[in-house]
Amino acid sequence: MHFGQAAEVLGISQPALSQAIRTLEVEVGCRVFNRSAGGVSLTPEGQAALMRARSLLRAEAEFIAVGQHAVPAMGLAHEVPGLAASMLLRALQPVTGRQNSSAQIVSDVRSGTLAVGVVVSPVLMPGVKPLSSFPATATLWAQSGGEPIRTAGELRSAVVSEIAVAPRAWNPAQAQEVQDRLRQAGVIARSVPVENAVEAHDVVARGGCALTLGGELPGCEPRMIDRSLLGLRFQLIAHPSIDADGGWVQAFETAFGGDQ
Amino acid sequence: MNWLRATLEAIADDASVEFAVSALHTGSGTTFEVRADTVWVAASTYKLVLAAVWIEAIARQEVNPLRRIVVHGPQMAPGPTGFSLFEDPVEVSYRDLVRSMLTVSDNAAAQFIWRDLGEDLVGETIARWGLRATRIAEPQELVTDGWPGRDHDIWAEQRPDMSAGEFDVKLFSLATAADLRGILQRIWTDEIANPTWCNWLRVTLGQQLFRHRLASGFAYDGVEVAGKTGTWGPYRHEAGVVTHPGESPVVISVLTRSARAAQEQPLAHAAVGRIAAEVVQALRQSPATLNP
Repeated sequence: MHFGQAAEVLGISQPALSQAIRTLEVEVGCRVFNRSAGGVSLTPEGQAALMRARSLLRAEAEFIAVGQHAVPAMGLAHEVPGLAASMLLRALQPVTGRQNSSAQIVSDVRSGTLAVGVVVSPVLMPGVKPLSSFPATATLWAQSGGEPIRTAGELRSAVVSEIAVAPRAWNPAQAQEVQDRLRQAGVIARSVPVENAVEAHDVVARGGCALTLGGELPGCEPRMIDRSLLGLRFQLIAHPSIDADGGWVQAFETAFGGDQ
Repeated sequence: MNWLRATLEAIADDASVEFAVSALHTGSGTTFEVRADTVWVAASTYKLVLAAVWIEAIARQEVNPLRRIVVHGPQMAPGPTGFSLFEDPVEVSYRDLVRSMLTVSDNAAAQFIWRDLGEDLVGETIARWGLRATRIAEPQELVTDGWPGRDHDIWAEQRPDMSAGEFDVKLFSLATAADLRGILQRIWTDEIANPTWCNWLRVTLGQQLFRHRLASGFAYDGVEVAGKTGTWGPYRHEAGVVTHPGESPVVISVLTRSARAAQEQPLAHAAVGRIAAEVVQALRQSPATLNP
């Protein structure tokens, strides 16, 4: 390691580089380099600073790259059915789809990380603009299927031991709504939060059932639940600066309204 | 965002509510506020404003608190409590009518008081106190003007259905956390009316029946919680004063709006209490840590 060579790479003089390093050392409050007759080497603090500096440079490069190829990103809640996601992403190319929880998508839309998002409502949406919504069709998956569930009584007898539901952290309002509706219907089954299909299969294998909003659970048998029984909706939200005429609403309504 | 605000946001997220808070420790003068100037549907917190205007009117000898009034609730305003439920006319004093409005959020009583004081007197008094955002008004003029959510970070994605059946002052009155706190502050420091009637109002606010909201954050002996709740649709508010023995009162208003439309929302009630508890304890303990 040599200051002279470094200055040459940077295209500045060696005194200017030395001065810059001294200024840096004063700013960060520690020595970054050991200077000796044999040359210079990084202090332990300097090594730590180097790692942080490299990650900052990488972040800057990524930031610039995103700016150059700015593609609007759309958040899709975990519960969004695959078919609807596919229709949305095709209709809105070159949009980038990102799957996440409803709570995180609202937060990312508010901060501008995402342009728009499809979340499950009820959901808390401070600082974002609601554009459109459609009732979500819930399906109950179990080892054996049956007729669609239209009444509270049918729901009560369909859900007996355990029911796999979305984790509370994904959307506390949704979790409260589902819990309240199940209690209203007289369901006493234990609710088990599951994050993915394997965990849902776990519950079904024990003789329980799993609740989805249009997602498939291969190997299990479905029973549709009447929309009025759970009261959940898919909601299109946008950053307040997003114009509703940008095609977002039309694509959303085609993807989610198609099965009405 | 300091640590206290982050704690409050976490409480609100967990209960799925948006919130605003404004608090003042009357001893140290330290305040703590989050979104305190955001305009909200006041719901029944407007009755606190009416009561303050009413004692001011007594002090100006425009109102006689001992006047006998015949109340026929169902003809005045529907509601789930108080004289609104009475099938037959009854006679009460004006101050007991105000007491019913405050202790059980009586809509019939509020409707009488609002009409008796008159929109002009209420509006003038509020303006004199400098409560710029607070409005107690009939619905028509608000349809085009200043609906909460406009220019604020709380979006009004679900405007209430303005059908004739919901024609009620409380639905269309507006308030901010800062304004509600300001009114209570004036009542607790004898800044309005006169000390006798400020004291009467303090005692009456302490008689409120509802203990599930603000008071739920202070569920232990020796603390006094006076307040006025506001409930409508997704809104669960309370403005009140928390007094620990031998300490200066802490004035606090907490406004919340739930993501859900359900009538029964125990988590939202509890969130009002939890938010108040965090803020009040922080203000009692170490005001300096609130503004690092």
